[in-house]
Amino acid sequence: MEPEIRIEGLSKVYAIGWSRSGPKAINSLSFEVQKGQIVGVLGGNGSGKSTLLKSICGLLPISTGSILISGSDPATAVHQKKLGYLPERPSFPGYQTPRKFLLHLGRLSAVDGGSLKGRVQTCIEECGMQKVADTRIGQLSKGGIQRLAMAQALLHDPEVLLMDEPMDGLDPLARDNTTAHIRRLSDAGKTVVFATHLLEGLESVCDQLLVLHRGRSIFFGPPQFESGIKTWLLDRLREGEEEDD
Amino acid sequence: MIDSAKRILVIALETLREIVIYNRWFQLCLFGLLIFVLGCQTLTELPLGSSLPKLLFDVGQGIIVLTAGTVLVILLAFQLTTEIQSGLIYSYLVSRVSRSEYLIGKLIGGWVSLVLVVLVADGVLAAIIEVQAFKNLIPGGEVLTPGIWEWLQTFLFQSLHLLVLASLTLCILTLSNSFLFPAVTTLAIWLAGLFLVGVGDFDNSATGFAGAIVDLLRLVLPRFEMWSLVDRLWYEGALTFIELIKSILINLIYCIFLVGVGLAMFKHKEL
Amino acid sequence: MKAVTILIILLFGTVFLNLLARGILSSQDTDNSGRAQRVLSNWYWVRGYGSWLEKDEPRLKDHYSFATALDPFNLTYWSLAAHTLAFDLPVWELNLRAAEDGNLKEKQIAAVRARFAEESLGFFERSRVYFEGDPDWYLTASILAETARNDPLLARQYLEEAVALPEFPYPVGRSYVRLLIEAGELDAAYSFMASWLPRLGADSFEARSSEIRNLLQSLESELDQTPPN
Repeated sequence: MEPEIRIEGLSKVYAIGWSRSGPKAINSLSFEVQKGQIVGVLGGNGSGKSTLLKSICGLLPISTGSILISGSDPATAVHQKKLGYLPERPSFPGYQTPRKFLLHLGRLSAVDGGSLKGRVQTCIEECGMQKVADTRIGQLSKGGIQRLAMAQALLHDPEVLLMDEPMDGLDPLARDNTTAHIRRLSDAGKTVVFATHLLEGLESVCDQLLVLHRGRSIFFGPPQFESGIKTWLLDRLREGEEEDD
Repeated sequence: MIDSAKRILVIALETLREIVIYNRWFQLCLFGLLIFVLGCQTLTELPLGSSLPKLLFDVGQGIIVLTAGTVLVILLAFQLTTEIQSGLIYSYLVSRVSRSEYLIGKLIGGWVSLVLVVLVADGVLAAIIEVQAFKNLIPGGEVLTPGIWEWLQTFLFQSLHLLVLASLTLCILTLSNSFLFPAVTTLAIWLAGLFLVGVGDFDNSATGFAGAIVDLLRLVLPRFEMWSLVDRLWYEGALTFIELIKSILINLIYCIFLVGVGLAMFKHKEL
Repeated sequence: MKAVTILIILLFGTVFLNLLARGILSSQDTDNSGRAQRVLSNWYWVRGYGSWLEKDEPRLKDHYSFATALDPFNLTYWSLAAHTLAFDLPVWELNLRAAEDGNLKEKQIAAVRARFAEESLGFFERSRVYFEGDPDWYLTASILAETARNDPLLARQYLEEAVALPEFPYPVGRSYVRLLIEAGELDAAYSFMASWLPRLGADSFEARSSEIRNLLQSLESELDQTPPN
């Protein structure tokens, strides 16, 4: 079966000023994700998690390697409305309401006009935003912004969902709800890749875990750890540091 | 192509709505511009008789174009930089909107908002001039003022002027991640083009080093036609059809070039 | 932002902008023509130079009118503009006519020059109210009257007003003397110089006092007057 996401030899070097010789944010990364899987991307600060997700979305040009989503490049995948993206620090126009902003995005995404309002309402309900759907975005809490970010990622019903720190800033109940939502999305056949710092519950949510350290993959596989994920992760990261030294 | 045009239109309309209805600084600037245009009334005390309307026309045009241009550059630079840095642009880019469509939509939305301002200001200025012309009427004589066709052409050229300026802002914006650099650079280039080069479309009479500098600037700076057009419209009436087409074409070519370069650079920009 | 806040900003903004507009675009009633008006005046003067290079008469006239109206206390602009009107514009028109009609008759040339001379003097007269008590204004008017309009009598009348002032520069008095002598009014010339010479003593240029003394002596022989000490 063709993987939903295939990444081969991916490298990304950021340019500094007019020069190309910046730090290597991602270094020869290769992995595959099957349809309907949930993949958690772990790593320390600056390990390349956000860069990886943005590269898959086509928001960042890659330096070398290839990214295929259902056999197409990211630009085509975006055009075919296959990708949904939840950014690390979501930002929305403060003067708009969530409903109006989603309608605006829906028109841009060419969500079928007749069913656009219905689709927006569905996303609002799925993300638990019924009470704040008509409140100005500028007045929403951090949790409200995150839920809106989730709604805008799901608006055009993508097959692949990429989320950068989806549980960042959420209280425990909201985190639990988000985790449950991710499971429901996977059950509905969507492929979910999310980057996170939070370790709790990862073993029960993720089908695969990708651990990055300074742009390299130091682990990719099912999250089954005898000593618990935290201990295991710290050991892996320390090993990575020693290898670098 | 049609889908692309639709997306551009949606972004442009939303930008226009945001600026005109929700941007308080824009509304304040509009108000300030109208006050300054009305302030031309103080010039009516000058003992110029039948020449007074021309002075009001000149000064009014200067105030409108300089103010609207400055607001446009700052507004466009600030809005685009903020949306890119805050990450709002990601929501657009993953919604099938390409970088080019996003930029062009923002450009058109911002430009149209200032064109509306110019339309209102021109209306106020026209009213002031007509009132003054009426007051200065010599019995049996005539005070020349621009007709409706001249006013339409004035408005058209102001709009094109602003479009070239917006295109220049967009082009320079793609070189930097900050708001200040594109805003200041665009304003500097614009004002240099307007005042140094555009003082007269006459053969440069400066000699030596100063003359060489002015010649070089003429070659490098975009052509911002204002003073010569203002005089042309007043003294010789509306442009002929051929002259109009030529002028519109030149300005559009400038825009296409500047926007094209800007889009090409933006495609490879790290967001 | 609340509506009340906006209204307050609008109110204070309006007041502020009105004061600003009045301050920088102030009226002609005061000595201070306002910084913005002076800047505008300079701007129009520069554009006037462009019109002069292109020999564009209507634009030139408007630019000079605006420059002088916006900063009416600038005698240099009035003077240069009047001279341009008096001497350059007739040449442009005559050249244009010659190109169209061939050789022009003396009468036609004289008529064109006279028209522009009138216009120039009329233009310069508009500035009189701003230069009351300024002898340089009368000197410029006198020069225009004599050279452009060929009217030495009018030129003398301007200088009479100038020399009636408590103080006037040497060229004013000297021109007045010259015009009186050329008109044959030697008595008047002698009386004027006699009353002027003591005041010239304070002048730092000895050459000027010498010149007047020499003129007085040369007139004496014609008039049989006793020279003053």
